[in-house]
Amino acid sequence: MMTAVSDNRSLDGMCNGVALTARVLAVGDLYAALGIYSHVEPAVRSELETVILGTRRQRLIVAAAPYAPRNLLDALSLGADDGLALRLAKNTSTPASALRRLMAQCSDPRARRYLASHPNADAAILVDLSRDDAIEVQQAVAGNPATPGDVVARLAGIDDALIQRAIAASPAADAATLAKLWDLGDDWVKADIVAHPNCPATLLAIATSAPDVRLRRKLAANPMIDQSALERLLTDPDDSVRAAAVRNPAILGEEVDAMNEASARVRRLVARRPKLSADVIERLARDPDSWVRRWIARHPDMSAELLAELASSEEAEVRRGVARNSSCPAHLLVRLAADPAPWVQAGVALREDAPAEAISILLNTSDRDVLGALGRNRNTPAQRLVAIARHDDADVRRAIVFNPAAPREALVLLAADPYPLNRAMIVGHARLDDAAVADLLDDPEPQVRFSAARRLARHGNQPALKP
Amino acid sequence: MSEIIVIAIQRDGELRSSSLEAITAARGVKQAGDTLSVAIVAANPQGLAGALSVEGVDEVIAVKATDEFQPDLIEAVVGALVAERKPSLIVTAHTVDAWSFAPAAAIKNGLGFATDVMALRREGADLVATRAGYAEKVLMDIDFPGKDTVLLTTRTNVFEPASGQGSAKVTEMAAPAADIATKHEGWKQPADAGGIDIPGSEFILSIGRGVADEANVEQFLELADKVGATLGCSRPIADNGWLPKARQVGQSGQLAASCRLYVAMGVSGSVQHQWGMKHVENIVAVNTDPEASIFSIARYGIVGDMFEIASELENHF
Repeated sequence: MMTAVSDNRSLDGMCNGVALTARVLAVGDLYAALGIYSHVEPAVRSELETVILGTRRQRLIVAAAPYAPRNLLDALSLGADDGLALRLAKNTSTPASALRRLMAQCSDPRARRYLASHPNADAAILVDLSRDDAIEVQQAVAGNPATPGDVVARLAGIDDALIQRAIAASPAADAATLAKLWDLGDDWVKADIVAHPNCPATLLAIATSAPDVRLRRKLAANPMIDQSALERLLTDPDDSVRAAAVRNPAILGEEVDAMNEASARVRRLVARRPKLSADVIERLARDPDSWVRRWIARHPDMSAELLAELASSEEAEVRRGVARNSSCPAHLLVRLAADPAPWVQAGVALREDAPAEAISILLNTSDRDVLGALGRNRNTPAQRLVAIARHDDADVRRAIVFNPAAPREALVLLAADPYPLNRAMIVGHARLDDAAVADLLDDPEPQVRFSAARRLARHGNQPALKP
Repeated sequence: MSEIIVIAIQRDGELRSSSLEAITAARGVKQAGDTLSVAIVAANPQGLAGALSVEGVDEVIAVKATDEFQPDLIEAVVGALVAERKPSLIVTAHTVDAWSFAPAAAIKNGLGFATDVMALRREGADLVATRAGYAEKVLMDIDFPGKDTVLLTTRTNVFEPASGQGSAKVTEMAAPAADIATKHEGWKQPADAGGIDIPGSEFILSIGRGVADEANVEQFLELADKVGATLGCSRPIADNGWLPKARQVGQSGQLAASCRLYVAMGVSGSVQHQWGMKHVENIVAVNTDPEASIFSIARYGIVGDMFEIASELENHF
């Protein structure tokens, strides 16, 4: 933890964390102050608050900022006026303590609706708001996944389509609530009920033979459905129902293997399933539909022989699938590194397990996607990474941000990148030294200054900073 | 009664279609009694006069010079036209050509000036141009008090290309003397995008972080193919190497220049992404976060899971 300092003249004799705080206070930079706020001792925070919350405009900015520290948002909620309250209620970072305070002091239905749908709203808040007179507040409570089951059950009795739909999808809705809702809701509500993991067995049975395709489709997606119903849905005349059944994680591999599916749409989904028998994989690898082959080319259980076969496919996207397959053998990666399609080469260049021979082939490229992939790859030679950091395309240069092995020279180039987003993103790189980060405290972009200050404050051990 | 002049641009002797869009923009503010002229600088300007003689154009001014990229020459042509004809308005497309000559021409001739204009109208006799500001975050109306001549560059793919056969007279104009400070080395084509054409697509289905994993990307390629859309993406998807950079929409990516329907699935809507698509008339946003920025610019919004919506969408095609 850093401690407070009010005398900027004595920085030299103090630890650098203190120097950072002193500098932020002296410059009066809102964004840098926000960056360090959570990392200083409580006594210093009040000094920072004079920088951060000095004007109403600043308070409004902070109240709406999802990156603002929670304790600061909590402090802002004290005596917040309507404008501030609305922003705080919308801000997903506002903590429950602040939400409770806002609920007690705010009568604006818009703000209360945001409180009711807030991801940090706890059960007590939601119970209180469920009794709000405004229907839109009740709708928001019904749609909040944190709303307790007894509240959900009570709200299910309200004759409102939006509340009913929200409850049909609520994780807190139990079998009794869903059964009650079944009698009240429209077809859309019923469809959501049969997809619900808590849907009563009696309703699941009704849906299995329902004439409405929507119901059968939603039922087929229910992970709690029993195997016999699922088997029946796998032979449904409608291919969208069969597709939903194939997607269902509850389905057993053998049942899918047994399918002699005519619909390409369903076969594509079969090719995406994690567990497939060797026979099914082989059949799908030679499927007449190219999308099926694209999917199966990525399947981790593909044999080396089939991968070699698909690596010779005329379709670049199928070859790309092979290049991205985690089971692809090294010799195929070398072959695909010399593929005529740059997108296939890029698939190899992304792989940390690509053999040195493949990387060596790829180094000759001028293609943006291949360069971008090489820029991320920790096995790319340092000299090449520096060249990528100097590329004339900002999107190519940014790849360095994601490379944990990037050399300092490349990182420093990114820290001086003309594209602001690249500077903001490189600040988080573990190998960028604090001296380079400190230079970014003067950056014209607020996002960069915020990130730089936060990074330095987190490290708590900064180099000498410019006065 | 005044004259409006469009500066048309050619590339290697071929007329740029954006010049026809500039004519449409100019035609929209032409008042009764105004004349509309189009000036073209080329090695064979007469050969392009027919294409420029569209409905509403009264005169084509043919300046015989070169097909090379010579912004100093066009700047001199603008200066000569201002001096000789005193037009009330000069319009040219907001292209790399205009970037090279328009600001200098505006300064040297004391013209009112606005770039990248997306809409143009008259308020009484006054001209009002609309352009974006602060990285496309706001739209600004600009007027030009006290300016006898205004020079505007118009955003491409916003105005319809002018069409309809006209009967413009063709006038030859001698190329003015110009202090040429640049040397044309040749034209370089942009990198091959592998057949992906985000700027030219009218319907783009775009995916963002919500897609979560490379393994999920393929299903949206499939969906885009099924619904007849071009698949676009936000920066993180291209950064991860999950889709080619040619599909990235945004500030450092592509501009959805011709798009009329943009379906953003799992895209939060960062400022950088909005730069490339905010102007699209019909934006449909799908996101689980009701507070995602994308909803602030969407015409239609769905708070929901992109995979569920994609699956439902598939059932309709």
